[in-house]
Amino acid sequence: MSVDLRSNTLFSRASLLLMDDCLIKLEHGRTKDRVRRYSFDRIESVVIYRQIPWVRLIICAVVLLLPGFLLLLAGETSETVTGIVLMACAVFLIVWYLYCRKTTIRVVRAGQQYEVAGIFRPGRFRRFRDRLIGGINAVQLPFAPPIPPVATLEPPPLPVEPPPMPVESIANPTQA
Amino acid sequence: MPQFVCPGCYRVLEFAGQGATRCPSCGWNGEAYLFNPAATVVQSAELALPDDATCIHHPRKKATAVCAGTGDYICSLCAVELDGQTFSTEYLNAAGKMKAGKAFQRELPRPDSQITLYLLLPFIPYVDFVAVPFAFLWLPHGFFLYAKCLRMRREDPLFSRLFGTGRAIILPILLSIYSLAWLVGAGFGIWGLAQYFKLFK
Repeated sequence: MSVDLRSNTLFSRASLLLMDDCLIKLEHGRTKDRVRRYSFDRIESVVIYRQIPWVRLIICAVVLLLPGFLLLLAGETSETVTGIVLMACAVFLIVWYLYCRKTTIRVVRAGQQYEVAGIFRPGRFRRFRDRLIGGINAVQLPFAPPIPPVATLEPPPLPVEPPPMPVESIANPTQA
Repeated sequence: MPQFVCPGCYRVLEFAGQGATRCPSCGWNGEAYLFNPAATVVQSAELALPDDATCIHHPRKKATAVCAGTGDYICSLCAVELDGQTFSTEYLNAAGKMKAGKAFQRELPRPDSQITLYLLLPFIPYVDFVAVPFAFLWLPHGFFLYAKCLRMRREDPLFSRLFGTGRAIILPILLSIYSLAWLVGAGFGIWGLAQYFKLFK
């Protein structure tokens, strides 16, 4: 079993690992990693949101799409092929970034806020989220019951009234 | 009602539940999961009665544990639990510094990353001029680091997750291939030099 999520940015690489009782964030270095542990017992909230990664999209457009388009205009066969390849790469990356989007996980633990952001595959991220929420609930269950999901937030069912008894038979059982 | 701070407008939002939510003021969309964390229990050390054992560092406090490092009686103020054993803070500050450092480990050595770096060096322009001739130094070190990886993999569950079976198989194969290639290259080089000197004798 390897790491659960990887976040690669231009300046830092980080990995997230889910253990039984804590979330571990590894900030990778050249020869050693910085380990940050967030134990589940004091986590107050997890907020997840997704945004369009504008910076990456702009970099893709400037570095790949624009030169590819300019090469297409040149007219020579080799340059046209290179331009098409560059543009195909750019379009693939842009579609991929738009599909995955930049996901930010904000964990509030003991009043402190910790954030991890990255571009994660949706399926892999969904599995990670479910395991994270399940793990926190499992650890905190002995202290307090988990807050129910929205779908189950319904008013408790009203007590069912017993069917009305035949009044005559109660009033005068000998008649029956 | 549980609350969380909206990442869009930093307003405190009340949200009774888990899952998708929306900020009414800024329109932020996202998911919020709120929990009931364990409350922090702060126990003040009890004052010792005349017959009670007292803490060696706080003579007026009642002893509640025995330090596993020094064997002294310690109160709840001094007691720190590490790996299922109780130690006194004084011990962890002095003789048990290594033990405390290991328990509250903040950095994880990654010898496997160093091996990967070694394997990449010969392919980096200009660096390869130094890396290739001195491979007789870093290749044995690479094998030494691999042995260290295997030991850490057995001892550390966190490292065992990072250093999976795939890496454990691929790294020694790559090191061996590079060693073999370097030996063959070095052999040819020596043979070539010998031929060169023979020619001019």
